[in-house]
Amino acid sequence: MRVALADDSTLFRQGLALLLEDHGVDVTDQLATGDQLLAAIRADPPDAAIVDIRMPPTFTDEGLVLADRIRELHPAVAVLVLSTYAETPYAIRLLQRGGRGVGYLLKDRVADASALIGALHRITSGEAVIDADLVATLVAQQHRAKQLDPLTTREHDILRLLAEGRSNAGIGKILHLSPKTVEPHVASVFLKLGLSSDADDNRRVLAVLAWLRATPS
Amino acid sequence: MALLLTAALILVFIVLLLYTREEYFWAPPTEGWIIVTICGGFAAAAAVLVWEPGQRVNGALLAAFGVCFWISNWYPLFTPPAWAVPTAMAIDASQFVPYLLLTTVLLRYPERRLAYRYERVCLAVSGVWLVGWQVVASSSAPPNSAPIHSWPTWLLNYDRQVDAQNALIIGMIAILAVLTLHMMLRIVRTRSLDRRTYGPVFAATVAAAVVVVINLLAADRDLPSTRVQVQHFETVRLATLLSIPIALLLGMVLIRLDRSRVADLVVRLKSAGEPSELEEALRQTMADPSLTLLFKSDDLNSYHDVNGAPSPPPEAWPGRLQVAVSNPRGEPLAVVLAHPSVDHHRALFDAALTASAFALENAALQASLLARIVELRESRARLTETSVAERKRMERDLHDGAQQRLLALGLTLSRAESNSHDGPAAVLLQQARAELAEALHVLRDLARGLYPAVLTQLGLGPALEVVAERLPLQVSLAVPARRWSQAVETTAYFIICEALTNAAKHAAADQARVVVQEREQRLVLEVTDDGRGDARLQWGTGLVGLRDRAAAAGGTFSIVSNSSSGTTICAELPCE
Repeated sequence: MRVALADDSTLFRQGLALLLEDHGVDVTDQLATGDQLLAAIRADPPDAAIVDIRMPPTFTDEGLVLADRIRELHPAVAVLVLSTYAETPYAIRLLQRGGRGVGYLLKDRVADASALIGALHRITSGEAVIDADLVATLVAQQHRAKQLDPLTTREHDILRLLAEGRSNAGIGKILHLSPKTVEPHVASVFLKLGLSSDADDNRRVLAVLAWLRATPS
Repeated sequence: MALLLTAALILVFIVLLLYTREEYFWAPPTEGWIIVTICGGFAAAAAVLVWEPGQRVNGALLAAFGVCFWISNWYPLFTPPAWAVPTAMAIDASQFVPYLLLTTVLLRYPERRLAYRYERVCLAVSGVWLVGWQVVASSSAPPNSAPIHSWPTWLLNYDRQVDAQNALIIGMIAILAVLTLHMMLRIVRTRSLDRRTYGPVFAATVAAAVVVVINLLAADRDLPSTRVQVQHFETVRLATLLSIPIALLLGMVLIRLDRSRVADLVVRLKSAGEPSELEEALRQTMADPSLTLLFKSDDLNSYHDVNGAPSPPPEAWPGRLQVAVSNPRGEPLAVVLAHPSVDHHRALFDAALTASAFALENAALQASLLARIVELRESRARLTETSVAERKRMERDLHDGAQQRLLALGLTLSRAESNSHDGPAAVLLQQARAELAEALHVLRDLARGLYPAVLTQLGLGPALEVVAERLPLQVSLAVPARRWSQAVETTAYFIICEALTNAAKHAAADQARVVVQEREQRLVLEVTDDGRGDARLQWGTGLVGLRDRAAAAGGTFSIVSNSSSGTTICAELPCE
């Protein structure tokens, strides 16, 4: 797998590149700004781009803007946004722009090499990736609010994995179930939450996230 | 000096009156009486005017006009004794003098000088014109008539003289038209008390000038059929002239009546508790809406207004009438800034300030307290601003410094772990990485607590959603999806955060509702919970802190809390 990355922190950028190379990922470019990354992708499109959410010039959410640009100009390149903000509005904003193969991962997750590599594989195969920490926070909140009571333990796990952006096959693999067994469980979760399950892409993730974030009005 | 001159002139007038033949007064259409009344009117106006501060010279000039006018009208109807003939001839020859005197007074009044250059030019042109007129009028007599003037006759052809006279009349009309326009502009431009006091004089002047113009036009035609009307018109002209001293006297009476405004002021002061009410009372008394009270601050280097807001020093208000007011001990209390025209009513102004001396002393004290409150409020707002800026800086420092370094360390640990294969080292490295992840988690929460980046980037709504996601209670949010200034958003965010945290921690609430609304440039925040409802402002410092935050942003804060309906916290923040 070929990956280009942009982060303004040299220390982190180099560490990340070395870690990726250790795991057999071909790091094509390591750059400090979004403009440099866009130029590099134009010159030699990689399979995926890793971008830091907070970069110059304003050090706010350049990473999200950059992700949108990459998706718009190079739809074939998957984008993984690394963030220090464990806050769902950013992840939702990323997913809302549509398309396939985007991910929102917390930066501290990256030290877990298998999680990082797994996320890269998932986005390059068109899945969405939402950091498990974000999902855990939302699920815990709804759990406290007793909104999840109708779900069985298995359905509970499936809901969490759905929110993380996993496909039915991915869910089956983690829970050691065959895809055929997963499908009715997923359908049951959607039924119990009152969601429609026809979409198998970002929209499914968004629907689950929206339900998890929904506050009684 | 002017006083003596006026007295002497009036004396001359009385002496000449005694010399006048009795039948003159009874000649139709009783012109004599009108002239005596006019002269008497001007003498009375002059006598009153010389006692008015700053009006002595104007008074003397007016008296001089009265006497000259009397003499010029008296001579043709009076057969002077032989010894007085040369004097009488000289007086007759200088008939223009009274009109020049009158024009001078009317242009000067109520000032002590001619205010504009073009007024001086106008006066000079009128003088030259009137002298020219006299010279031309005396230069020749109609054929077959005895010269009525004892003035040397010039070698001018009578027809040429008529042409010259016509030209002079047209010129005179032009000069009078300019003066009339000028007076009308003065009526329009004067304000409030000035207009009431001096407006009648200006109006009478305009009327007199218009009448003279009409008179000149009629004389220019000089048709036999209009003679009678001209005769009547002469009466109208004299009556209009009489309106000038009457208007002057009326103005003087009004100035004296204005002193009763001070009585009204005293009554108003009784209910004027605030410095701003005192200012308003003085404005009404002086009919000057621009009147401003300035108080010296305690540090004696700066000034503040009636609301305690800092104000530029009096030197920064050029062209305003400035009066410093002190208390009986001579300590400066305030500076009153008024429209320059208020100086014409100085007696009233001084009376008003004297009447409000105690109120002013009170107001100075109150205004100094208000100024201190304003100062405190501003310094508190500055402190809050500084603290927010400081929090943002620390959040940024944490993110760019410690967080990045620890994240890089995590990557190194991860690589070390994968390179050490299995063994005790790998276990230790994995443990280290887990501890690091925990540290990063703590650091992230710390950074968010200092200043949530999502608030700056996405606004109040998303920032509150994030807060709601992490709290162990159901929170419903109704927040408009728009942005406000950073200061307003920050204050609103921290108030709502604290209120929600209190609801979860202390009130043991299950549900909370947050409503944010913008109403008339105020952001209204309302946080309601279904908890125990024993929140009191004097209790936990948290609620007092919320009130302080709202107050520092210039807003208000209130709390309603009881066991039956939980706690409702309401804050209003000004927002543009």
